[in-house]
Amino acid sequence: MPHRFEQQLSAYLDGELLVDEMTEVRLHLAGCPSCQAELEELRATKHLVGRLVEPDLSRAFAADLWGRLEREAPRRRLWWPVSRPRPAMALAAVALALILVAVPVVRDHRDRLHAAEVGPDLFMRAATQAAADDPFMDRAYLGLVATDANLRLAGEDPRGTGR
Amino acid sequence: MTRPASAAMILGTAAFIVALAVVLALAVQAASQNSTEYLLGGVSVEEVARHAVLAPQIVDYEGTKVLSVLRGELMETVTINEAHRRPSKTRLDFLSPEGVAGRLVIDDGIQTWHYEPRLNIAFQGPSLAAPADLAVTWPPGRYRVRLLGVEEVIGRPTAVLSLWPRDGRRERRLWIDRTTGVALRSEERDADEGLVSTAYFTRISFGLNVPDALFRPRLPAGARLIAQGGAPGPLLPLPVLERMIGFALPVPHALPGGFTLVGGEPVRAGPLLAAHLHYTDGARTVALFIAPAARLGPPGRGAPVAQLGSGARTVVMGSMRLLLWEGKGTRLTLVGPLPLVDLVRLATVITPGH
Repeated sequence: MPHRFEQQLSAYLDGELLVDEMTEVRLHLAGCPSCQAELEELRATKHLVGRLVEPDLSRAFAADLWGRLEREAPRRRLWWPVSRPRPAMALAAVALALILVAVPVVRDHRDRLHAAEVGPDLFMRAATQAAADDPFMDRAYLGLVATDANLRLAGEDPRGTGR
Repeated sequence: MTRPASAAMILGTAAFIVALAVVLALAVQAASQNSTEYLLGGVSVEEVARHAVLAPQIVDYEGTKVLSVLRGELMETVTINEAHRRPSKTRLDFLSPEGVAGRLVIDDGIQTWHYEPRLNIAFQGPSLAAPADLAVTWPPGRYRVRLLGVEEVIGRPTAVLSLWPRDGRRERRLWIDRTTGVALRSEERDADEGLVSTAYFTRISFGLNVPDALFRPRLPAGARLIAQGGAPGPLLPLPVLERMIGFALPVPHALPGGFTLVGGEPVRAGPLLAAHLHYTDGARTVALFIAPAARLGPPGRGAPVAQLGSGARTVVMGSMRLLLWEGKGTRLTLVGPLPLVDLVRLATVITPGH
């Protein structure tokens, strides 16, 4: 031992193995004293259990059991786990409420910061467009200002220097 | 008896002096005009200015230009190869400094493409070409145009013009090529801030038939294209704009310096929606942007401007300056080729509380 057959001995004893498995266990038992001893122990235990007297249950016990089953059954149909501790559920509900409130607030704050950040560049870009009506405004200069604004609006550093 | 005689003498002498002064003034003016016309070969200074406005529509050129602009507190020098094909196509190849080298701008008169090679990103937006009909109204009545002299720039004779808005504080000087009308050099000088921008060609070739292919954008494979919309539509009257953006625009129709409101348009980027109002003095345009203050965070950059409250900031980029401040529950931003003193003056008229 350990034998792979050891786990099959109980089933062998109850006659629950397939024919091939039964033959295989039988052949193994013929040459394995350890498994023979194990089998004998199992057989003796089964015999002892079989001699136990089953107590008679009262009618009241059966009625009480069925009543409890009736009461418990509808609860199991609920979609949330009623059996979990209530403080945990309360905490989860509070956390969910906080998230529902916080997400719009955080998003609005982020949008406001983003708008403040992009505003000057957006306006500078639009103003270069309007300044094009000035015939003596240098076109290369306008191109430089507009392209710098484009890059800042895209979240990039216009000079690539990180400043 | 002597009193009337001496009174007559005094009157006569005074009349003579006044007449002499008038004659002298007329003579000086005539001499000055003759001198200007002599220097310009019989052409008036206004005609030279109009020639310069028309030049991009009648001449092709290709050259190397050096720009020096005030950026923040530092002067930045940028070298650009500039090609122009009449009437309104322009190509800018940025050569230096290193941070802008390789940047390409192509304007075909309808749209502008900006390609940034180090990021492999391209931006597509409206054209930055000047409208074709400007020469008709140039120079505008508010501007004083003077001839400062004639000079040579890169070996070519130029007329040096000075343009001053009548009550402005910033002068623009232009060195206009006598043959083609192209500005070979320009400067903007501010009464308070000094020289704010210069641009000059270090070489230029005219009369080329610059190939049209130069003005067709060809983006490299894999380039990310960010479209910023096509040509802007017509400017809207205030009531129409107010309905579009959903908030009132209590702004004056006239501002100091002869700036008058010509209309507006909405401008949007993500969560930001603002009104863009155009004011012009006939040449320069000042843009006023208005957005609800509640939709914006605190301004992130710029130098503080104490006169307009704690949140007021200014950012300078060459001749263009941006001023932002808060008033009447709104965030206001002025952008224009004006010194800070003038922008603050406009701001105090727009939001009188300041």
